Amino acid sequence: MLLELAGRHPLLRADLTPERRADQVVTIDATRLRFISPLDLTAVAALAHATAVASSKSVLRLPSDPRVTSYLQRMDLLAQLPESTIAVGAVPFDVRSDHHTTLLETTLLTPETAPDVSERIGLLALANLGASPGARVARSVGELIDNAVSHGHGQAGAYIAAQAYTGKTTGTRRLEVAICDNGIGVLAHLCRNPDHAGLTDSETALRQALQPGISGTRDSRGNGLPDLLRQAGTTGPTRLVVRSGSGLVRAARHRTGMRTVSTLAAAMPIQGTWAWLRVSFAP
Amino acid sequence: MKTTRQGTITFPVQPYGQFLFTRAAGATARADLEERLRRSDAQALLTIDFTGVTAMTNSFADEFLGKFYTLLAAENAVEAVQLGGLNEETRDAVNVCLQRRKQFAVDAESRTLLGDAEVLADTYRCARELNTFRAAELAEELHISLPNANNRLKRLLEAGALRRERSAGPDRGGKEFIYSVPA
Repeated sequence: MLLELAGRHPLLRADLTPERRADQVVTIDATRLRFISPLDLTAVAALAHATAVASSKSVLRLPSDPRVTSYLQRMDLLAQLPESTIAVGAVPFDVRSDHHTTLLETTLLTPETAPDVSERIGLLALANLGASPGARVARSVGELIDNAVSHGHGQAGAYIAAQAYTGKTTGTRRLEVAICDNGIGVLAHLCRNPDHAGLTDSETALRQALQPGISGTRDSRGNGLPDLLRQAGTTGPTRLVVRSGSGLVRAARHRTGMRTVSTLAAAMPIQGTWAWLRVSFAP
Repeated sequence: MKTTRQGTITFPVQPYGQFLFTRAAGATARADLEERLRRSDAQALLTIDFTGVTAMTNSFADEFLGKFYTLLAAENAVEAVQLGGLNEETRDAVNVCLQRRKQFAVDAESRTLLGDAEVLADTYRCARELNTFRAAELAEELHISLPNANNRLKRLLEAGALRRERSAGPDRGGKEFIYSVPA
């Protein structure tokens, strides 16, 4: 399989289609990437580990732009790849300074690492968004962390990364967080609850998961994603994209409070669940 | 007269983290709280202290507090419970969690009820003004029937918002309860 990544947020596109190949090698071609988001980092890590668990090999073709490769290295993607993944391309010398107030490197998310990750994300949000909005956004990211730790920690792991953007070029401060896991996925999780056993496709499952009280258990749960949009949405324009199986849902909460949701069938089905959250603030 | 419990116990939540996000962390904190109550003598007042917690998810709050309050009525480890050290965000998480479970709790700082407290807010305010009272006195203050007052007092007791002790009736003809607001 050959997966070519180009443009901004290629892995959020429903029409991104991998090229099928006869061999068992999964090749992720990032040579044309000029910008890497937390989603690109965590999704590549999740894909590489899912491939390794399936006893296949993967190849990551590094970006041709050395600045982009340098960022990818700074964000610890190379360090998080499994041994069976071959990185092809020039890797710059790793010079790093402490940026813990602006980024969270690609990090394995497990029940054991969750407390430290929570602390990092919380302090990152406070440092960039201010005390009250930062705490609110941290709560929202926390719901994604809880979902990944509760349902997404399969053998191939779950990965998180975050980046705060100052808004110098865009005029808008932003915090982006992505969590990609190789767990059972939204459809299989919801179907554990007999009330939702009739669900047959990931698109419908994802749309359902954005409704309050829809859970894979019969407990009074299943409010994580609706709460996320409600909370983060009160602090600034918020976008959430979730992929699971062959489904992709885009949800947004605008400054006016208006909420939009659209669901699509993705050309490339994925194992587990990928979530990308972006919260924007005026500088 | 039954001996009134005197002790107080404070359970700090901050040791579990400044940012509390997962249900697993909530379950751990609840298990530790229940264990601490089991190991200590029956206490008059438990304060769950959120000082130092900056943010928590609704999921953490539900796993920790929602389930704790569900079991509170059945347990006899503590007479009264209050929540302290809440900030705007953690208070919101507590409110959301308790409203969904149709529960309520006492906010130690504002001395008001958090959660699903719409019906009982006035009752609790009146109870605080009376401080120590019989059900009939509350019913009279609120202009409601005695059974209605007893129903409301039962719910406040189950949430640890009030304590009560058995006492001789005013006419020495029987037993009744005297209610009080934990200090």
